[in-house]
Amino acid sequence: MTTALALEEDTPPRRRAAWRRHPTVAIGLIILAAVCVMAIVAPWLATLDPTALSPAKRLRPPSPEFWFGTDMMGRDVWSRTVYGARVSVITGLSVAALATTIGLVLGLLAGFDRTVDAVLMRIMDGLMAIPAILLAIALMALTRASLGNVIIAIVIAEVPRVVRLARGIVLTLRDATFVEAATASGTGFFGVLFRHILPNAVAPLVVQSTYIAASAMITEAILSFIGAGVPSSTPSWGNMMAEGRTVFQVAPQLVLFPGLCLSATVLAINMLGDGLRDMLDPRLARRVK
Amino acid sequence: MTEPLLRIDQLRVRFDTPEGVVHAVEDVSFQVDAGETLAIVGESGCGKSVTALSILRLLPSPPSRLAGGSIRFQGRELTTLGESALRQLRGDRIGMVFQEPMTSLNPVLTIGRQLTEGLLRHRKLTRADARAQIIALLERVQIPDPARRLEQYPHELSGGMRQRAMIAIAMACKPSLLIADEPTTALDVTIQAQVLDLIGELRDEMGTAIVLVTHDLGVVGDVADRVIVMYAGRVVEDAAVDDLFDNPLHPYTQGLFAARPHLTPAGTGRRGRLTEILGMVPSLRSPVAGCAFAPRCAAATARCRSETPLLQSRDASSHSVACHHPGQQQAS
Repeated sequence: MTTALALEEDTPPRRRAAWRRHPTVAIGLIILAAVCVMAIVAPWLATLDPTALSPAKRLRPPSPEFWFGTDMMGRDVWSRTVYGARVSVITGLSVAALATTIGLVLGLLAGFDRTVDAVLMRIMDGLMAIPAILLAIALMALTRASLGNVIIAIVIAEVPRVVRLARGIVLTLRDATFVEAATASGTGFFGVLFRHILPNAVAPLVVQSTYIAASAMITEAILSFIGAGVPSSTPSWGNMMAEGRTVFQVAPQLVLFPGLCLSATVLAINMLGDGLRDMLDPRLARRVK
Repeated sequence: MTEPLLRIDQLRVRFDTPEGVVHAVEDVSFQVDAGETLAIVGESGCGKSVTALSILRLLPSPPSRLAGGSIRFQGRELTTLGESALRQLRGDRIGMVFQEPMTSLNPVLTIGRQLTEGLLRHRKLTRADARAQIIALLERVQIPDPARRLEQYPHELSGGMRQRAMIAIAMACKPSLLIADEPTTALDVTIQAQVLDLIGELRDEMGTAIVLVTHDLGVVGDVADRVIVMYAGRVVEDAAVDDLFDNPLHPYTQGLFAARPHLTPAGTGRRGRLTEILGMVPSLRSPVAGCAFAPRCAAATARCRSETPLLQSRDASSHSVACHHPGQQQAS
């Protein structure tokens, strides 16, 4: 008994390398990093101008000259896929950042003020009653097709989910004993907010924002696929698949490669989110040491 | 006569609930002198925690509402004090320790950050000075290896150690009054004794007065100077601890003493059920006419059911009781 106790104290359990404890986070991060690098260095990775038309070389199969083949207008699919990563990455990151920030602020307001809560949450309920994709389509129908508008439309569709999450967190934490204890030792409202509530909200919000990024990429692709997204002059995985679908039987590479890229990216983000949830949840990660 | 450190007069706290108004605290009056330890005892829901929390106005409002009375601390009226002036008092002149050490510390901040918070705010110390003071204080509350503890998170500390850390937070600014809301309820018995000893030692060193909320009469006997017994939102008995233990006057207090578990000598064959107080605590929604304890009291008369007894001192002593027939029902 004593020896067992002594052993436990003397040799703390060896900490395995982070990537071995959370392999999903590691794999997700690697794929995501690759996609980001692809987006950043697209001009150097692309073998040809993604918008250059060459009518003579239409619908070529993959070859050493055109790695992923060419589309109906003779544009290089590899170069377009590489450039398409930019749209997806920008959409994913900015929607996640914007929706999380706006949602957090609104959620905090709703969590702290009953009147704001009553009004705001009814608006959010209303927004959530419309499927996100339909809401985004409707919003795009009102505006000009551009990447900025796509992002705004998706943010509006995603915000209610974050508001709900943040509000729930605030309502739980507001009555937590440690918040009461902090108040009892003289901490004011903002002290409670910044030192006690926000740090406890970070983990769930970070996890939620990864799912938002994944969902935003898919929504952007859908919008572009149905022609309500980024203008067709900018290559995106969504509009590439849309253009390629009519000739799928003769040139499946037009749909296949952007589709694979999109699936892999979304899968990677979801893996990252799942892993982060396990990693950041104090009840799961901290006690198991 | 000099003013006591804390004086509560005719305090009334109500909770507005959808089912009606709950009269949680009804005409509670007591005072605490500097350096004195006052215990508030009573069963769950009798209003003892609500009384303690309302001193620092920590009850969430709504649903709670101060319906009357006055709370004077060092000559200042707390019920009308502005929010920022009250914040100055909280954690500086009045410290607070809560029941649940497992949840009273923020799980995502290090012990060090939470401990130095009060000193940084109230004493305007530099981070290094605050840290040095806190290390000394942690040593004082017998937390081993304090410098290392400061870098740790709450989950890395045991329950007893967390409660010591909470006491260190409450005592960091050397308050004149410490409000301890069932500080030992969540701890096991050996740790309870250590934590109570610690509170007692700190009181003697710093001259801090203590309001100790508890339902454990053993704890009361160990540390308190004076005791008030609460029942259904009212004070039913107020006495020096020895007087109360020697001669409990209110039938409810007598019942509490009778209900304490006793060890019976082996072989006497008297191990039966614990003594209990028959009946139920009355609902605080509809204030009853007469004594709230009357339905459970063996000595109750028609007068008890119609006229609410007031807290009155007996024989000009400091022992007061709110009962028409004090001392009649002897503990069986």
